[in-house]
Amino acid sequence: MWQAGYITLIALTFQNVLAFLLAWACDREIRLKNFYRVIFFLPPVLSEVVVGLVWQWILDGHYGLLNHWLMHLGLANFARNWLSDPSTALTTVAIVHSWKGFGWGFLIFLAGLQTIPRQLYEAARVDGANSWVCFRKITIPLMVPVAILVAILTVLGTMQAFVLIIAMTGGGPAYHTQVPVLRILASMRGSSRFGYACAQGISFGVILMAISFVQYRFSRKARYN
Amino acid sequence: MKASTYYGTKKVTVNLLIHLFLISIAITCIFPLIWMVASSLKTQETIFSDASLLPRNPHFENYYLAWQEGGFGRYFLNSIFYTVSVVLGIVVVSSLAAYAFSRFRFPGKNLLFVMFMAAMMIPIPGSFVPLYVLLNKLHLRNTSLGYILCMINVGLSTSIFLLKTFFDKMPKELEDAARIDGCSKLGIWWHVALPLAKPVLAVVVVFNALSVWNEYVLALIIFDSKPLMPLQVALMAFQGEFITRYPLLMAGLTITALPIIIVYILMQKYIIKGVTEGAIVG
Repeated sequence: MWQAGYITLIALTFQNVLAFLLAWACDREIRLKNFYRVIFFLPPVLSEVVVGLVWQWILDGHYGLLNHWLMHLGLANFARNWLSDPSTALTTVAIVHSWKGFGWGFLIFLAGLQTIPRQLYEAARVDGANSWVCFRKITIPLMVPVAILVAILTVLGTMQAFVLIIAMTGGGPAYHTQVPVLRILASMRGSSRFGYACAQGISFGVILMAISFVQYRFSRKARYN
Repeated sequence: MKASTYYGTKKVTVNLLIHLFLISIAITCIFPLIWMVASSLKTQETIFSDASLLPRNPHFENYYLAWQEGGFGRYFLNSIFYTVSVVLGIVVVSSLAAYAFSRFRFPGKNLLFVMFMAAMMIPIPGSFVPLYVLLNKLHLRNTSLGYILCMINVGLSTSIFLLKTFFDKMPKELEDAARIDGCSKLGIWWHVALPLAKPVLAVVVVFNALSVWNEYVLALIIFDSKPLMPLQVALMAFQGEFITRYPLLMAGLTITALPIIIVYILMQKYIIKGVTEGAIVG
């Protein structure tokens, strides 16, 4: 549970901030806009198994490309067994998860940004506001509902993420990347304790529904204010 | 004059920085895929030493080996079979259901619709253990039929919701005209409602096809016997068995990812539309 929470935290902060920045950068008269949009949504359409196995190969401790590059850059002390070192495994998995997921947030943020009427910015400009003031006083307040929506989707998606983890570490090293769904699968397939697995599944499901309910109420409140 | 050139250069620099930022992220998005393809073209001997992106003598025979020896040919056909039948099932059932929910009055209609929508809320981790037991009791575990039925069920709620929203907005006059011409209810569904719903159906088809092709956990718990497995499960099984045969594994991954990438590039308009509209609905 703690591990899933940690991955969710990274996904919420790192992934969504990245998604928002990218969307904000794309939300202007810019060339190649559609190209970027297509590329950024490429990782989310790939399957978690493919993503997990490719990254596992890149991050491999002995032959992986990342360590190979680090050696060549003279940063050999940074090279490590990213996925089997208990101190880095969870963060590495979380970052790959964010890599796979930021495209969703990007698309939703971009769609949200494009609904903001341009006149608001023009009016603010006439009143002498600079870009930063425009961003803080117009963009951010209007994006709060969208941000909450993205946050809900991120939390629900990340708490349930586990295929990527199976493909990258299998829950190891020594349960350092164990997440609830993996536990449920293990009690079901490993030890055939169906009743127990079912109880785990239902309590986890209830927690997820509670989280989304709280967030939903929160977002309604934010919308009315 | 001076001021305007100042703003001009400033704008150019800002644009340049923005492009730099976007391009660097775009490269990290594509690079792992290029590396996957590059690795699949090396041999077992060179893959651990050769870090080039374009191997000097590409070994396409890896694909042949993976297709034949690794059995990915069989899994590929399995995946195609599951994807096509599930998508077909979803389109038929969800369009009929959505049309009925939108146009007919029958007892228990609202309750049924709420039940379908509630099914959308239930997280998968809470449901796959009972599902496993249920399939066992029905003797559908480790069969293609069991998997296809489960996957149809997974995609149904969202598809019904999308189609019902569309049918609700669709003008009734066309259907009335068809009815006056003597068309039956099923005939109206087939000749009038479905053709008009093509844009929504495209979203339904693409999204469900992607999700079936990429599905892992249900296939994992349903299938025990290898000849029935779809690609995703087979990949994990292959990786577990031949942990160091990276060139073949990478070829298998490329075989798995390529159809998705092609479909995505061809249908990106619908996919992006689906995501943004789905988000606004939610």
